[in-house]
Amino acid sequence: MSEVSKVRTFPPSKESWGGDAAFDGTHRKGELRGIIKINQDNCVGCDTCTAFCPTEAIKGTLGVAHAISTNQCVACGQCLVNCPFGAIEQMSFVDIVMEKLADPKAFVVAHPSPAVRVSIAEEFGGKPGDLTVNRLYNAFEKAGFHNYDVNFAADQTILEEGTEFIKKVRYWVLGERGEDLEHVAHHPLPHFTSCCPAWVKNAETFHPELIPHISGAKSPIQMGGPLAKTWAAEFVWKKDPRDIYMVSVTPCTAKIFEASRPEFNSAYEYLKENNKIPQDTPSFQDIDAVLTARDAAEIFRRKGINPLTLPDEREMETMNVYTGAATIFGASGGVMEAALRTAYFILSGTELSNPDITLVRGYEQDIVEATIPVPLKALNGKVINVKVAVVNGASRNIKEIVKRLTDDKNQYHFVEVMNCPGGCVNGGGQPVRTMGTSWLHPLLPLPLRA
Amino acid sequence: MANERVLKFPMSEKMFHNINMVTWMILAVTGMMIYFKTVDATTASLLMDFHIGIAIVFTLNFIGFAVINADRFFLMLRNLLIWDADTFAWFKNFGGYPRRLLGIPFGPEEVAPQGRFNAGQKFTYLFFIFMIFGLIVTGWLLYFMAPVLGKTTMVYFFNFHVWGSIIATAMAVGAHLPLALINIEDFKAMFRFGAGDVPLEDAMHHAPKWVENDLVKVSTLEQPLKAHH
Ligand code: HEM
Ligand code: SF4
Ligand code: SF4
Ligand code: SF4
Repeated sequence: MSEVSKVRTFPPSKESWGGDAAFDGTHRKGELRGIIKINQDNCVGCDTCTAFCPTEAIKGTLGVAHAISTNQCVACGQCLVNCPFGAIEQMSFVDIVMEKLADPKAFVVAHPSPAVRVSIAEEFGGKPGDLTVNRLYNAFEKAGFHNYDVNFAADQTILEEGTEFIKKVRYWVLGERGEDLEHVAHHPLPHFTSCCPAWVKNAETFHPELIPHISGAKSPIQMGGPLAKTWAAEFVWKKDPRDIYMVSVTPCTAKIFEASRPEFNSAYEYLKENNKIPQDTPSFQDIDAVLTARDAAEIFRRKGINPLTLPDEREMETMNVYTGAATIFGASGGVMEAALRTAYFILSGTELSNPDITLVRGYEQDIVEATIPVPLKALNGKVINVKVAVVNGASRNIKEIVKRLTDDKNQYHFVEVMNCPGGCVNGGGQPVRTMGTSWLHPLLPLPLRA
Repeated sequence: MANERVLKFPMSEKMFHNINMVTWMILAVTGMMIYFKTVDATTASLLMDFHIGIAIVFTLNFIGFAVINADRFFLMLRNLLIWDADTFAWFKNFGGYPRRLLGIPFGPEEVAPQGRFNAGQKFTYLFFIFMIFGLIVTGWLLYFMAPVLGKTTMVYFFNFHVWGSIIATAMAVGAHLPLALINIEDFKAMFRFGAGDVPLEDAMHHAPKWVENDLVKVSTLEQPLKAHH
């Protein structure tokens, strides 16, 4: 079992949300910035991090302390995970969440993503699998959280994403027209996934021409937030939504950024529109705080909880129901695979016979492509070949994909982009292994791979 | 006899040593100024460019010596690596230096007879050669391979490069340099323009076994003796 290094953190400051100006560089008012920061005193200027940055946001020459350009950074945390000297620090909401947990009025909900279970086990010196779902829920409960699993929401994301893709196929491939297809008229193929906020921010800043291609589906976390504050608040918890404090627990530092984006206050908008909260309620976000897997482990440590030692039993709760499609979300190729299965089912009327499209759920290669013949129910089984690609570890591959797309617009129908190599399991919020680098990973013989 | 001289440092060795010394010191000073953040970022950046430029000369100098003068290089390694009973005996009184220089009556008065290099020199020079080689290897790996080394290796290499160079520089300045000044004939041989020879008398005092075993007389009077390897 590899060792885990300590990552230094800092709390957000007033300036972290920006001033009163609508825009400050590439950030809008309210959006968190400076989530990942290089400590100038600890950086030796070894220049390792620059090679892992997807956006060339890290400035500095060899031997000189480096710094991150806030305007270019997409907060993916890959630099942090790969800095050999532990010089890169993460903005953390641990203190703020601890305060909320101590506040009797607050109804604090933990909203963990699938990829954190294995990694939190690692933070406590356990093997993957040591921390069962039940133990994790018990740990959150013991720490004062209520539980809400993202997989429930991941199913929603996949459904949205799949349905959207089908509409695009109907409009752009089959030439269908109709009222329900009008909104995809401005959203041509290839369809790009939208659940990786680092990739979305990357596209917004550096490849705006791709924005119309990106799915309108929200990430599972951002679907889960509003569901919790509207539906669950009213029907499950019977709580005033204003008292609900949603804390997502993710493998990802870019989610810290995502949660702060101004459009992610749907619950607030909905509740106000339907007069469920007073009209003068100040806006609140769907997700109030994001903890990385490391942060969650830190909260457990501060509360003296070792989740590995907790009982493995508990009753199933309403909010923890999910299908198999959603559990593969965190792996590279996972979103696409899940969405494809849904799309396949709707387009063809049958289940995809081999549900594990292993071709797609890749790790070794950076860009994986596959062609999946889909017999169309609507056209008496006429087959279309759906061409898909998974872009894995955006740092080196976004440019390549953009180039291929400009060369041939019909190259792909569906492209999944995950900023981190191998997907969210190697996200910037995961425990930092003392050893190794994700670059060498694909070259290692199998038994040595972590 | 009084005028007889022996060749201690042939031209190739003098060139290697002196280029190595100058480039080493520049590398050490620039490296430390950068590491200890004594200058602003712009200057540090320039110094690093300079560090890398000088590192090229430093590397070529070492490779040049080891490859082009392979025979001298291996002769030197042989002289450094052969440790006989007398070599070990040197440590009983550290060659008598503590007694003579500092007045500390340490060990026996009699100094065990030494070869071309005494035991202290053998130890120091082996360390220097190891460090030169190690700094070249780690330096270029840090330069070209940082992202693929892996974090642990990176940290080891970096610390070897930084702290190894600092320790070796301290040894060069604190021990090697003053002792070279004490053995003034060696010092003159190394830095004088032209032949790197020392008086035979001096050689017999410091390195009796070298004179006895390794040297051959090439001609009489005022001509340097040559080592026969
Ligand atoms: C062939 C020889 C050498 C090469 C190629 C080389 C290359 C390098 C490189 C690439 C770095 C930057 C390390 C990093 O920040 O990642 C560095 C730093 C350094 N070097 Fe060297 N070097 C060489 C020899 C030396 C020597 C002989 C010394 C001292 C005697 C030395 C002292 C240092 C020091 C103290 C640093 C630390 C500066 C920092 O913080 O980056 N180097 N060198
Ligand atoms: S990897 Fe770490 S130590 Fe190296 S330059 Fe980047 S921040 Fe500095
Ligand atoms: S967080 Fe990601 S985008 Fe930002 S500097 Fe680090 S590697 Fe680059
Ligand atoms: S790949 Fe996953 S962990 Fe990495 S930035 Fe995207 S969403 Fe976050």
